[in-house]
Amino acid sequence: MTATSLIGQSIVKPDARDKALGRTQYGVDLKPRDALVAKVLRSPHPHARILRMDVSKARQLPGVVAVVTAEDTPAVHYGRWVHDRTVFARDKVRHVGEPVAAVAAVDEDTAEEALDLISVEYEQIPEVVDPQSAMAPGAPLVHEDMASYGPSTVRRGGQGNILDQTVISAGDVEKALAQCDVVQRQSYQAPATHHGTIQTHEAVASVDATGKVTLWSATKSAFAVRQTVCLALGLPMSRLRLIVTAMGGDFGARGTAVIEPIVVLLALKTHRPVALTLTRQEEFTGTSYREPAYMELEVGAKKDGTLLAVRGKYTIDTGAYHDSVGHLRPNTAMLVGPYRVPNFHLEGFVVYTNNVPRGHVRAPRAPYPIFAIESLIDAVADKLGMDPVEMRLKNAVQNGDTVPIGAVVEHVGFTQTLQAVSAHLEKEGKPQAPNQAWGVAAGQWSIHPIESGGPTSAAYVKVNEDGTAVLVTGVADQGAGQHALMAQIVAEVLSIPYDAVSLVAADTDLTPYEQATGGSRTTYRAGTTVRLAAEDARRQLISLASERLKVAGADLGMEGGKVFSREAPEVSVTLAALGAASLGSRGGPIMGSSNAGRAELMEAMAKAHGTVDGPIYCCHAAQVEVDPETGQVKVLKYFVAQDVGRALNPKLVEAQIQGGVVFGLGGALTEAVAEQQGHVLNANLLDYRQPVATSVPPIEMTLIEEPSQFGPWGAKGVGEPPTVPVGAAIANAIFRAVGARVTTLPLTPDRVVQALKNRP
Amino acid sequence: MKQLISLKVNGTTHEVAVEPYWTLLNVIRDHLGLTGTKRGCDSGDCGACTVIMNGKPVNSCLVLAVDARDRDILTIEGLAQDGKLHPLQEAFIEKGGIQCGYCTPGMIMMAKALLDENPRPTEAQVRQAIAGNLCRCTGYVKIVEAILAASEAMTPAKP
Repeated sequence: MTATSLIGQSIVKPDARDKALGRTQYGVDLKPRDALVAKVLRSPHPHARILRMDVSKARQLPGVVAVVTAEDTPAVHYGRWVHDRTVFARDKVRHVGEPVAAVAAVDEDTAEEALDLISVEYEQIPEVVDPQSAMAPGAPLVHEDMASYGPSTVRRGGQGNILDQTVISAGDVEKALAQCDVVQRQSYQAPATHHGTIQTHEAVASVDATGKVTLWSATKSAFAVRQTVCLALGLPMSRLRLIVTAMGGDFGARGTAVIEPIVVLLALKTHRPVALTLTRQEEFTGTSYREPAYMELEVGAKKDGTLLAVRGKYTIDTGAYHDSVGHLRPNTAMLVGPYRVPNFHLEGFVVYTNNVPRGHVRAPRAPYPIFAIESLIDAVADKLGMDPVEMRLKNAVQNGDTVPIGAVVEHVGFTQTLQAVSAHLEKEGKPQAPNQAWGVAAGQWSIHPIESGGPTSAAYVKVNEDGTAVLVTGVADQGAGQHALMAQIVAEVLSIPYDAVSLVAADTDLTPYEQATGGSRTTYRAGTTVRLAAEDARRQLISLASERLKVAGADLGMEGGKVFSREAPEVSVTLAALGAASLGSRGGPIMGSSNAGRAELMEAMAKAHGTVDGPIYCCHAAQVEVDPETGQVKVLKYFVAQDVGRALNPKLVEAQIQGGVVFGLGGALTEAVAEQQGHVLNANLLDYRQPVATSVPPIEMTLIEEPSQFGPWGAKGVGEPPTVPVGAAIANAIFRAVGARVTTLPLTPDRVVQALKNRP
Repeated sequence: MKQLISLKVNGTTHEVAVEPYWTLLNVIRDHLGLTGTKRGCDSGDCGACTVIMNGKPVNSCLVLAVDARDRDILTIEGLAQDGKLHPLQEAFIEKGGIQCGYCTPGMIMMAKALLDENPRPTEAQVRQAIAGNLCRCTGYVKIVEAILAASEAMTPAKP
């Protein structure tokens, strides 16, 4: 790139100013003054038949404009991945918090009063709340007609309460384990955890005289949510426009339709704007979040530390409805960690229960299998008397390796992250104080092979008559700075200043399709799409300049807002002049489309088919101090080495890693949704303990840049991986400090004390 | 029964008819239209609704509107003066202390209350002061940096 390249520059996010001023509008901030207030009546039982429901008293209450139930919706099932739910419970409720009715009223007080006036007669039936019981023969069925649920592309076990199951194996585990010098086995457990966004779910819907609905929602998946709402309510997509508002945090909370079908239904019923804000309590029973998991693991190694075999079983409690993507295979494959293991046998199960539905939380499904394997590898290293980083280096996955899902990984930067941790620990030295130690753990993300389809994403770049540009993209920004990055890419390609690019985003009628801002895919995939659109605009500018300057396109350069002849730089034309001239030109006003360069991209992707292009690996080290009396764990220092491919905006990368680590610290030490027979006991932010400013250690990091092939300028994803290994890093540090192995997350003082008692 | 009260918010006095059980947060947001103050939990656990009342930071979801009668209330909208951002706002932007921005107004108001009382806090004092304000994005790192930078900008250390 040129000396003036914007790539690698820490440009300040343009949305920060409005946010600092309190001007940014999130969710219901933009509701019209006459908007009705919606409230949802939810099931108080984990499993019950609905015998009778009477809403007549609620309908008669002055100020109530509509009361809706299952009778007001089409008899269809919908869902983001498995079509297993309805807007309101029909014949039975499957979890505490399941919607059974909703009201729209002139104000909140009236809406709440109306909920009290709805009478529902339930007959409770036995619930199943853990996957082991749910998988047992004769267990109560959560879904009686699971086999009928679409879409057929989603693989399902289809037996009893088992939604999905998989087996991945290679070599001969029995034989290999018999040849090992050390074999360690252990069971691990981890709880439901919450995304804990500070803004609860909010949406506003309004209907015009033609019946067209506009929905304002704080979602990161505008198009997916539109699709779901349309499916649930039987609307053609042309009748629903979804405009994304600012989001008060995402972390997996905002990828599926949660409240949107209800808000739209009420707007259609009342012909008035309707606003709905979930309470904090409803966030815990009316949304979906990280699933509890149970891991059984056996690892065998030779004396020299070579891993020979892993046997594992991974069981997920997906609650009453499944809001998780159907990637059971790669998630189960995480049980071998980022290592070369010639023999493995891994089983995975996804099981329905009568718990609150499970869905995505930052790095969905990755932290728990990694907690298991990274804890057990550490135990094997200890048994062998090997340095834990050395052990990992010896077995680390390398370029060209075939990983358990059957794909070949390319552009692997794992070894470099391990070396960076090793160097950092050397520099830090062993803590001399008693009960203090460093622990390490590795992590991985995006181990998905390139598929036959291209990126589910498109973008336009328009060049204005003054040479500035507008990017039109479906990308939603949850705050990580995605919009800043996308604009940075356009500015770079057109060689114009960063602030000469503005952005229209995430509006289903206005902007092109975009899958979602999630899975650490935005920079990597959407960034590539945006780059294609900018490159098409650039080609159009060059072509127009070529006509005007009578210089072949190949001999033209673009820099500093000008197109110029490389041979005679004084022969030039400004982008402003080209933008203005384009209006009546043969090619028309400049409008670059990502579809223009797509064929070429897809050809290159076809050549790389089946390989993993942007695998992300990282290694963490945590220094803890453990109080052996109380079991209290204090994290004193933290270090991260992560392969980011290329840091397009280092400050934003750093911010993602800091935030991701602290998110992981919550899951490691304090966060667990306390569930009892399907009820949530700590549905508030006092008893569900997220990290606070006083609980955070200093975080240092080294960024490794092992470029990907298809990410813009080699970038890989960043946001999910830093959350993945934190639990294991702390657990391993606790072991190194006091010799106690805690195998259940979070690593609470009582568990540490218990593990100390159980020390051999 | 509603009562007519006067509320002084960001220097402007408003006459508002409020139910006795309405919170200051509700009135600020829904009746005065000042949506910069955020709602996160309605129970004083997250700090997103922090405003300054008579010089002290309060969770506006825990203050009844009638109890805020005739008090001097400052919200995030009242912080910038004549289009000039407060040094805390500048520092939050510059240091990258803002991601989703939802905790930002409460966080900045809490930080302002701290700096009003203790212009040169230590890092530990900053962390202590904002320990009741939850942020889920940043891990607090750049927020703490921003508050310390604002403190430095407002009250430079003596040479």
